[in-house]
Amino acid sequence: MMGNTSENTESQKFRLYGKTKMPELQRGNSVKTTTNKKQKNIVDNNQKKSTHLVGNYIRTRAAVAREAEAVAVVGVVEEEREKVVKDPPRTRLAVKKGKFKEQTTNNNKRVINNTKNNSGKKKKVVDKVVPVVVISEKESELNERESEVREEMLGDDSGGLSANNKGTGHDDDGNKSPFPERVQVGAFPIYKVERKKGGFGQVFVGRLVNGGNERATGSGALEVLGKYPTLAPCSKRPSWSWSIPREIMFHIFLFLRASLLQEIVRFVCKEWNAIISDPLFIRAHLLQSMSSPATTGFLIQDDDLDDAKLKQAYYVHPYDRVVSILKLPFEAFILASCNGLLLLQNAFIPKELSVVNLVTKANISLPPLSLTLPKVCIYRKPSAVLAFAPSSGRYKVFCPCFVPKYPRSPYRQREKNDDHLARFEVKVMVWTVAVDETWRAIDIDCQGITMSNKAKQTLLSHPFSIAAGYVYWFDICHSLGFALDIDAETMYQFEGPEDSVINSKEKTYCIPMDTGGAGIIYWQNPSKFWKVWEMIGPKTGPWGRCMNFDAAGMYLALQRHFNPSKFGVAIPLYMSLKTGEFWFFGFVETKHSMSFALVCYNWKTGSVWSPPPRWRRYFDFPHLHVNSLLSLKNL
Amino acid sequence: MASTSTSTLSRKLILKSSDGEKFEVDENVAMQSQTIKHMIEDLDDINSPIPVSIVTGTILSKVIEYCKKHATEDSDSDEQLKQWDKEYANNMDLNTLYYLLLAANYMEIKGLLELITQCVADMIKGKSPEEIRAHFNIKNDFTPQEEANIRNENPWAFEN
Repeated sequence: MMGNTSENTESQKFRLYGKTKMPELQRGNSVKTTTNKKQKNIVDNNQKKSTHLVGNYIRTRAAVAREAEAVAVVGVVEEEREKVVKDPPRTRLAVKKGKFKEQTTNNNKRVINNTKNNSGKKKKVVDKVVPVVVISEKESELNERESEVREEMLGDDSGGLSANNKGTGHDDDGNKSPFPERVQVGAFPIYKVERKKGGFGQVFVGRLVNGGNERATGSGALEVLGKYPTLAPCSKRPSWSWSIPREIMFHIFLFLRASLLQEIVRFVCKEWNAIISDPLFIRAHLLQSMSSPATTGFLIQDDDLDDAKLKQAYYVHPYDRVVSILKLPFEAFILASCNGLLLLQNAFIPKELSVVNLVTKANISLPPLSLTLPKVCIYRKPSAVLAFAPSSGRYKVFCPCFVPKYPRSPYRQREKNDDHLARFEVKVMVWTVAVDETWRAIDIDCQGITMSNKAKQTLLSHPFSIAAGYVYWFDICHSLGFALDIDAETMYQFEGPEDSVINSKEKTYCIPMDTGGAGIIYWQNPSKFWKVWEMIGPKTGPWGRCMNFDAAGMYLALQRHFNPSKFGVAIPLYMSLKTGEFWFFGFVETKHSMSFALVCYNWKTGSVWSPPPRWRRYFDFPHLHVNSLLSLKNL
Repeated sequence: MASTSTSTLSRKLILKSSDGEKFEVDENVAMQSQTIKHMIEDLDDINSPIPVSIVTGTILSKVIEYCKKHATEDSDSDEQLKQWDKEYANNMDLNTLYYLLLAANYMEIKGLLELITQCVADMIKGKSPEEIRAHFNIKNDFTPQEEANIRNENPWAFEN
């Protein structure tokens, strides 16, 4: 059970990302550090202001510049057109140059006329008045008396650019000097195209060819700004393109599921693929998936040795309320799941272990390991576990191995369990993914842990939780547990909750929890209340607060939900103290059959959810699981 | 913000869009933008217009519409606010969304940025790569070979 593995520690690790994903925010914070204005040096203050402004501006401009030049032009113009349509008095042009009039011509071309009377205002702003010229063949449509300069809005519904390009004959690429040397618009004087004036490569300064007076505006203006559409031929390209700065797309992709990103979104274009393949994104996406309830779920295998069923697993999304089938690469038992990576054991060759990601299909085989299990082991599977080491960022596989020290005594007919276990030596083996070539043994003897039979039995049981940098084993019969520090590879021994009345194996369960990482639940009486202990820390006396959980209300809700079937005996799987979600298995009994159902009960809202009846069956123990894009290369 | 918040509960700020349009807004409305918040801290004269360099008037008015709604928290319940957000986003065409996205990012308005990124993410869902390209007008710059290379990045080593 490890989907929420070391969430806390990992969030610390990723906190850095939280800043980097919005660089301007980070910059903003640094600017903000001193709040007392009086203490501020004025010069310093100014610098701060300017860096902040310029920084943001540059970033955004750079982002915009990344777009295809021509495309950007259309975008801008589109925007202008929209403004004209929706909001005539407040357009950028309107404010810059005063009042505009919009004319919509028959063929849906919009022409904006710049009236004379506002050039005065502009003179104050710019040294030379530079009205915008737009070249158009449709002179007849323009109101020439009223306007000396006209602008044709681009990107109208019919792809309005084409008309502009006919006469000018420039091609797509603005760098190939596609612009004509001389331009004449309607009955206006001929202007010589002189120099580039910025914009996106389509705004030029034109100078009057035949002398002309020094009037700054009007039809005889010495210099005018000409706006060229650089897209041609327009009809082949839509008038608008999506071109968003990378860091925003980064945000958007965080909302999408790993499988969607892997199978669909990355094939859209190279830019998108690059974002999705970025290790920083992959980690951020994983963190997002784990922190929101949207994508964390349970991975379940049928409790069935049928070959076909060993090649698949069910993935239940608690939030999306969907069950999907995930294909395994070969017949295997799922031993553990961690951050989208699975630890699989070959169903036919027990010593073969591998780590795979079912989404990216990344896979790696582990060195062979002898996995003989003592006969007292009630689980078929080795208690191996895959865990994330928060401080090193590595993934490690831990596996308690049982090695017979001497052969069975030939003189005894039947070997007692204790004798049988005593013959085995326990070694906790560790293998770091993508680092270690062979398995290493953790020296638990040096760490003051005696491997009694009780301890051996504890380590034979499945680790019930992996969280906050620790792997937890607990044996209910002996009230004995082990916590293994994933980073340091040291083991600690602990006992069950102090005031525990835990004496019944059937009524006590260890489960992973979202806050402390691990918890123990004890049924006092199923119809009344359950006791819940939360793990605080393995070194400081592990069991924290005790909570009484009202089970009576839950059973009532369950009976209602499964009516007319009967619901009995819940086996807890996971509890979220934050959201109030409590996951468990239970028997659902109808007239004809009895099966297992995965159920989610929320004690805060009282709601019950369970996958549809066709998903009820005999399950193997489910693993908390989240899909991720982790590849094994960069671990 | 301790230095300014006490004395400036109902101050008005003037925001100036890239095209020179001016908007007068309450301070608490404008302060939802981290960018503006930081700008005000450094401004001595808050009566002078605050330039919002890359955001045009049309888009800025939409941004302000959002900020106004979210500045008056107590009037609506969370659910009503979510509903409003939904309608707000649904009424945008892709073009407006595009510029709003840029504006929200530039102005650092977390809620708006999240709302729109979520909205765009929803547009991507349920589409094939071709449909996504058509929707957002993105050119496929992969060669078939490159595409195949990505697909074969991690073939199952186990498959017989």
